[in-house]
Amino acid sequence: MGEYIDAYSAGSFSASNAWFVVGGIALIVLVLSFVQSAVASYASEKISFELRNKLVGVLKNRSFETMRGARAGHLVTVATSDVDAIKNFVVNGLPSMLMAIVTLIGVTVFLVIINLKLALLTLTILPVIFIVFIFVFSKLGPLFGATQNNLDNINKTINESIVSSALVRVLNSMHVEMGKFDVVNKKGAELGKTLVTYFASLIPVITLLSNAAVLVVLWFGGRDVIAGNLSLGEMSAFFAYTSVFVWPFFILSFGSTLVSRAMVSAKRINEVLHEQNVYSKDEGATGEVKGEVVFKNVFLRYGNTPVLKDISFSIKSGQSTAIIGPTGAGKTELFYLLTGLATPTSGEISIDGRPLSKWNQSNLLSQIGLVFQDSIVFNTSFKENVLFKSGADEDALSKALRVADLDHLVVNLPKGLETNVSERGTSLSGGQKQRLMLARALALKPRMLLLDDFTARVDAGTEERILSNIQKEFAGITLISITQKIESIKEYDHIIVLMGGELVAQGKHGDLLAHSIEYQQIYESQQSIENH
Amino acid sequence: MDYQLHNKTQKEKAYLKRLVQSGKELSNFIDKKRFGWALLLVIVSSLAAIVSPYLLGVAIDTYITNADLTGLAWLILFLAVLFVVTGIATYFQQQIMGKASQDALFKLRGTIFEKLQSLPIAFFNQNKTGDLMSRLNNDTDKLNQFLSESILRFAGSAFTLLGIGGFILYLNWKLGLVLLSSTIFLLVITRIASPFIESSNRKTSASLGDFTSGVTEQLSNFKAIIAFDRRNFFEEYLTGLNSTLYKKSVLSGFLNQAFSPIYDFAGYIAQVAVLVYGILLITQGEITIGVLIAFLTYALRFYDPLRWIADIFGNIQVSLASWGRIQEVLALNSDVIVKDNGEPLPQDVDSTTLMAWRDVCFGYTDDSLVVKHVSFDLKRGHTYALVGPTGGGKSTIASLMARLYDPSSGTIFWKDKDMHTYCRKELSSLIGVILQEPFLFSGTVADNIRYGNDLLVEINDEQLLDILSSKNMNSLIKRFPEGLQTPVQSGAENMSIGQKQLISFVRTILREPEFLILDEATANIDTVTESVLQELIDSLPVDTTKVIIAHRLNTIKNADEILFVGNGTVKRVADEAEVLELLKLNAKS
Repeated sequence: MGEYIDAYSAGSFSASNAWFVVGGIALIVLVLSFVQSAVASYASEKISFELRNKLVGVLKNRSFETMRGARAGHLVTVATSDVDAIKNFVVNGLPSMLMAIVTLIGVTVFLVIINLKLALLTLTILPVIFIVFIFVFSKLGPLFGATQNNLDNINKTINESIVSSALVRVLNSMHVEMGKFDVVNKKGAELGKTLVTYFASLIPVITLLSNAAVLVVLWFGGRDVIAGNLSLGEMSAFFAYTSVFVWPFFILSFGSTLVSRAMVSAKRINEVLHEQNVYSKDEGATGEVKGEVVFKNVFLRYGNTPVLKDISFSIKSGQSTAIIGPTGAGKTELFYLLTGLATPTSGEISIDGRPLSKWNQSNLLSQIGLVFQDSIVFNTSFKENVLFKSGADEDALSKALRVADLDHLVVNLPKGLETNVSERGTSLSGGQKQRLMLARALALKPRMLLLDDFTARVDAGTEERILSNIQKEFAGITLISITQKIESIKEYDHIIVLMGGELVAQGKHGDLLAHSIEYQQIYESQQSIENH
Repeated sequence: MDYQLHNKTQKEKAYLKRLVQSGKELSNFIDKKRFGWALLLVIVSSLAAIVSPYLLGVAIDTYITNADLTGLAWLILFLAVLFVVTGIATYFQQQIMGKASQDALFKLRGTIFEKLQSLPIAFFNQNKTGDLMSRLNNDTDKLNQFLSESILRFAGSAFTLLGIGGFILYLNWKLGLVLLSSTIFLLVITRIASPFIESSNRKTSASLGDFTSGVTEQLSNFKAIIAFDRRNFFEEYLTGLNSTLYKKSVLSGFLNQAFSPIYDFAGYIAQVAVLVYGILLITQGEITIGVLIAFLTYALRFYDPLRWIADIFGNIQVSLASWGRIQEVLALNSDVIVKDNGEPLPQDVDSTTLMAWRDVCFGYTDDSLVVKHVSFDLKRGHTYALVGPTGGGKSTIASLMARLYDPSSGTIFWKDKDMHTYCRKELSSLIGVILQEPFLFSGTVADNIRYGNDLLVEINDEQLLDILSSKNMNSLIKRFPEGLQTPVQSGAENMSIGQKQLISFVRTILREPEFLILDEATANIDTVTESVLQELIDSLPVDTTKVIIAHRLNTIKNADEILFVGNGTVKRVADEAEVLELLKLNAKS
């Protein structure tokens, strides 16, 4: 610009030339800026993408024990909010902070070259600024940590209030939920305000200090100029550089909050990434499962709570076994042990004479169909909910649907197999969900079928039909069924009675009725009731 | 009713209109008084920022050149005071606005959560948990950034912009218009690009919602992932959602920053335009070189705040997208409301009737009815068994009885009035429901028994145990390893369904409801314990009306009447034999 004005004064100005040169430069800058934005957003998003993928990759290999008590709320915060904090630092903090530091060093060098005395005077503010940084930094870290932990709690509260929505409406306890949310929400606001207080003091203090440096230079430099020790030009130059001094500190103080937030989040992400994982995919022997199960002195304990005590039994291949016992006896845990959802505290479990730990987990699990007692339905199509494991085929699908007595239902669904079912869906009844779970297990073409209280939500007629279907279509399958109904297990090869985590009796129906008081008691309770 | 959240930008409303409207709606959450103060402080500190470089120039030009130390000292003192004042102003501005935005965030989250609580169960059936969580957390967080930083910077920049713009026009309106013309060009570009950028941000927010939903769902059901060896799918699925999120974020991240280079470019072009036109004006003798140089300096000053605004524009699009997602939730209203006037009580309903259904229809979606023209009466003190095939509509009927839903047509009468006219509180104190899928909150067993019962809130665990003992329920508590203090993990993974049902049972019985609905309430409880529960039910006051849904046909034995529910209709049947016959018929059809 200056040059063009000079050129005009000299009489050699050309408008088209000016358009061409300045416009050209502007265009180049425009393109470069676009490239820079593209690179910045690409790089920062790439980092968060990779971080999230890494988290997923690690979570994938987690054991159920480490996921139990599901800190799902925590893990969700880590995968979203904490990754975001890192991204923010990378995109907003890192480049400008690096620039600031480079500028700072450059300016310092120039200051020293121009005038050592003034430079030293100016630099006296550095240690002060440093101390301020350290102070605020030490306060911010814990506050950001507390904020993220509170966010976990907020997530948990929201999650529970949504999953419990039916109960909350039945009890008309919306105010209770609001009260719970108010507590965590208020905590978040309080933490936020404390953070704001530190942050609000940081910027003015830093600016004030840098401005103080300017005034110091003005006073001492001015005196030197007047005394003739310094030229006005040097003084002006020095002055210009000192003003530049303010900006990097401003950037650094702004960036420091991003750094301390990112550090807290990095720590939380790291904790998840480095927690011990037990699952090893490719180890262990493979082969067809026959279904011979042996429990030998198995104990299971969660923390200090004993769940199973000294359990020993054996099941032959192709047999039908029932596990019966009161609520809270630990029946489901037996299934968890068999499917790797839990590992025994002591004792040994083997299938076909090979200890569980020696089996290739993937190979083993693909032959064991477990029907959970609670319905786990994923937000996807009916078909995908049944063909849960990749690799199961259409044949297996139609057979599974037929055996689980679902084929009639599927025909009546609005979009057939492609109909979407949902987590809290109203599209399926309790009994239908239960049968969907069965179909999911059967689609594996399992060698062993574990039914956890399957009959609870299915009426007697349907139950009978389904069980006979299984015996017919999956001949030779080893069946273990947790149940409450003695009527349907009278003919079973083996019945195990579990109570308070102990195996109190086992044998056939007749033996147990003759010898086991506990079994008799259960039997008695069902005698008043005729089962149809 | 359709409660599904769609994530679509409302097309019918013009962008600018929506921008203004969103601003208005959002401003309800901000304390305007504090905002005004903060704005005043911003103006003070920006004025100081404009004045101080000028004064520094004065210091060198006047005092140092003239060796006036006293004058210099006075000026430095003045500057020091100015800096301190600016510092204090900045501190308070940050403080006030930071706190105001935290309060706004608090209010906003509270309002959304309150809205969620006011919505009926149908809303939760139609939407994903993770997406709602994301709206409550991530979207409000983005608004927080907007509230605490952007809005003030925007206001400050706009203030400077108007001032300089006015001054330029005052200096020379022709040259001024040339300079401002590029601003108009920018406004047009911004106007055209904004809706597009907003929609891109909306997609990013929605993808984040999907990712959050995916993680929440998969992690909540992790045991199925393990037992079905679905770990690879788990990874594939979430990685897929992640890569969608990544693609959308890269695009919107880029678009959000794209304003700045364009604004810079416009700044350069404007300067050349001013230069070329200015030189033309000089040759015509209209202005002097001095004016031109002043103009060029102002052109630079003018584009600084404009660049700030460009920076903020991206942020505005993000906020607008997030606000849209929040607004979508806030705009929903419950259709399960209390009415002042209900349908008149039919002639044939007398005081012995607790509940009467008249021609009730209901469907979860508009196109298919689950309950079809059902009419029946429930007499006070009677026990009813609801039997029938799975999927026949038993749970739906129970939900309608508890007014979790309202009939699509027809009327349910409770005592002597239309059920619509009772307030929720009254109904919930009289009606006890044990739902088919029991839920436990994280905490302890005692917390869950106390939950939602105003009479038990203040009572400690020992007193609670005394109450339970007096009602013969202490034996049930012994089923839990640490009794009332047994911890319930989040997600209640450490409890079996039977145990959850036990707690639900105790919780409901303690409320002493007049009307008790048991929807397969004891399905997973062993028969020995079940008989204890049966005794507890029997010991309820004789005028307690009970509706029991169970697959075990023994429930029929204790029932005064049997209602067969199949295919959305309700039929009164005489005995078990008839039930079995109907079941067989149903299986064949």
